[in-house]
Amino acid sequence: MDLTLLAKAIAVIGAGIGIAGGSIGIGLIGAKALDAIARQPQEKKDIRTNMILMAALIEGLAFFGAIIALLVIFMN
Amino acid sequence: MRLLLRFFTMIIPIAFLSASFPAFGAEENLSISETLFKDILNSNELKLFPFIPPLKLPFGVSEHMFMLGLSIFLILILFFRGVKKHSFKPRGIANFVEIIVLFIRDDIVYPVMGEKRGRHWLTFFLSMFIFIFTVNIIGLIPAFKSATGNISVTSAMALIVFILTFAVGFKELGFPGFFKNIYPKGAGPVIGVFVVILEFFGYFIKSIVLSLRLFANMFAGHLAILSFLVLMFVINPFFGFISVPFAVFTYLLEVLIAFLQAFVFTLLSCIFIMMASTPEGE
Amino acid sequence: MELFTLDPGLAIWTWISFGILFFILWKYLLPPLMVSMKKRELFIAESIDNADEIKKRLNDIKTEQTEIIEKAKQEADKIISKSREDAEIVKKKLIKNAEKDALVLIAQSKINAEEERELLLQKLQKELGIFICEASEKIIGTSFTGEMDRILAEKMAETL
Repeated sequence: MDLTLLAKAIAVIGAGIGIAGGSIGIGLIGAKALDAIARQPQEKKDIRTNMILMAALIEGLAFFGAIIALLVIFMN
Repeated sequence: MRLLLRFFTMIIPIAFLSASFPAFGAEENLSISETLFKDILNSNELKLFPFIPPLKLPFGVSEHMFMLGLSIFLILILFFRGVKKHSFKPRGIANFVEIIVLFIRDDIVYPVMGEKRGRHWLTFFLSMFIFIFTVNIIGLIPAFKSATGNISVTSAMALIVFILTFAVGFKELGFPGFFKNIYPKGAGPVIGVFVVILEFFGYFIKSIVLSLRLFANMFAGHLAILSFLVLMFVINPFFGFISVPFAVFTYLLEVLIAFLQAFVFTLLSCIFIMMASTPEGE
Repeated sequence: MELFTLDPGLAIWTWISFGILFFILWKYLLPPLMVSMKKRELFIAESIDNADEIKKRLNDIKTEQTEIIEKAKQEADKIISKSREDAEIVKKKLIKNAEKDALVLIAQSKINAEEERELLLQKLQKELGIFICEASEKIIGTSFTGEMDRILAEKMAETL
C-alpha cells in the first residue's frame, strides 16, 4: 500500500517534469514564430501552420508522459 | 460586437449548467475519482436530466455511440439546410457552412497539398474536421459527453489516417519507391536502413500520438472542469464561489480547445498523408 | 482500467458514422455547394473584367469629352472675337453717321440763326425809322406826309 502510494507520487512528479519540458519547447517555438512573423509579416500563414504543427508534435510527447503517469496513478 | 455579447450571454448559462451538473453525482455515495469519471467515461445509460432515472440504451449501444450518431445527425441537418439555402449571396446557415468549407480549403488543404491534389482531398478533410469538431463541442452541452474523450474513437480516427498514409504513399510512389523516399540521400547502407526503419516506425508513433493528443486534450479538459467542481464537495460548499467561476473559465477555454484540436488533427493528418506521398525535393 | 481499454464496437461505430458523413458530403452536399461557389467566383472575375473594360471606355469617353470641350471653347473664342470686330465696325459706322448728322444740324441751325438775325435787324430798322420820324415830327412840329417824308426818314435811318 505504501509502495503504490510512492509509485503514484513519483508518477505525478514525472508527469510534471515531462509537461515542463514540453512547455519549454512550445514556448521556444512560439517565441521564434512571433519573431519570424514580426520580421516577415507576409509569410504569416506559413509560419502559423508550421508553428502549430511543431507545437502539436511536442505537445504529443508531453501528453505521452502525462498519460503514462495517469496509467500508473489509476492502476489498481 | 453584439454577436459576441449574444454569444457570451448564451454560453455562460450553459457553462454554469454544465458545471453544476456533475454535482448530482455526489448524491450517490461515490468516491471522488468515481464521481469524476462517471461524467466522462462511457456507459450504457443515457442520463440526460438530473432527477429523472437514467435511460437504458438498447442493443448494447453505449453513450458515446449515441453522441457520435447525434453529432453526425446534427452535421447533416446543418449541411442539408445550408446547401439548400445556398444562393448567390448566402446568409445565415448557408454562410456558416460556406465559411467552414472555405476555412478548410484555404487554411488547411490548399496550402499543404496544393490546389490540384487538394481538390480531391477537400471533402475528406472537411468531413474529418467537422466530425471531430462537432463531437468535441457536443460534450460541452450539459449532460452530453464528448465521444473524443474516449480513446477508442480517437484511435479509430487515427487508424483511418494511418491506413490512408500508407495506401496513398504506395499508390503514388510504388512499394519500393515509398521506402526509397524515406531513405536518406548519400548515407551508407547501415545507417540508411536504420533511418528507414526509424522513419517507418515514426509513422506508427505519429499516428498513436495523433490519437492520444485529441483524447488527452478532451479528457483532460473535462476532467479539469469537474475537478474544480469536486473541490466544492471536498473542502467546503462555500468554496463553490471560487471554483464555479474557475470552472466557467475552463469551460470557455474548452470551446477554444475543441476547435483547435479539430484543426490540429485535420492539419496533421493532411501533412502526414502529404509527406508520405510526395517525392523528396518537391 | 476502463480509461485505456480499446472498445472495438465503438471504433467500428466511429468508422461507420464517419463513413456515412463522408459519403453523404461527397455524394450529395458538397458538389452543389462547390458549383455555386465556383459560379460566384466566375461571376466576380467576369465583373472585374467588365469593370476594367468599363473603365477603359470611360477613359476614352473622358478624353473625347475633353477634346470636344476644347473644340467648342476654341469655336466660342472665334465667334466672340468675330462678333467683337463686327461690333466695333458697327460702332464706328454709327459714330460717323452721328457726326455727319451733327454737322448737318449745326449748319442748318447756323443758317436759321442768321436768317432770324436778319429778320430781327429789318424789324429793328423799321422800328427805328418810325421812332425817328416821330422824333423829328416833334422837333419840326409838323407831320411827315407824302412820299417825300418817307424817303427822308429812310435816309436818316440809313445814316444812323
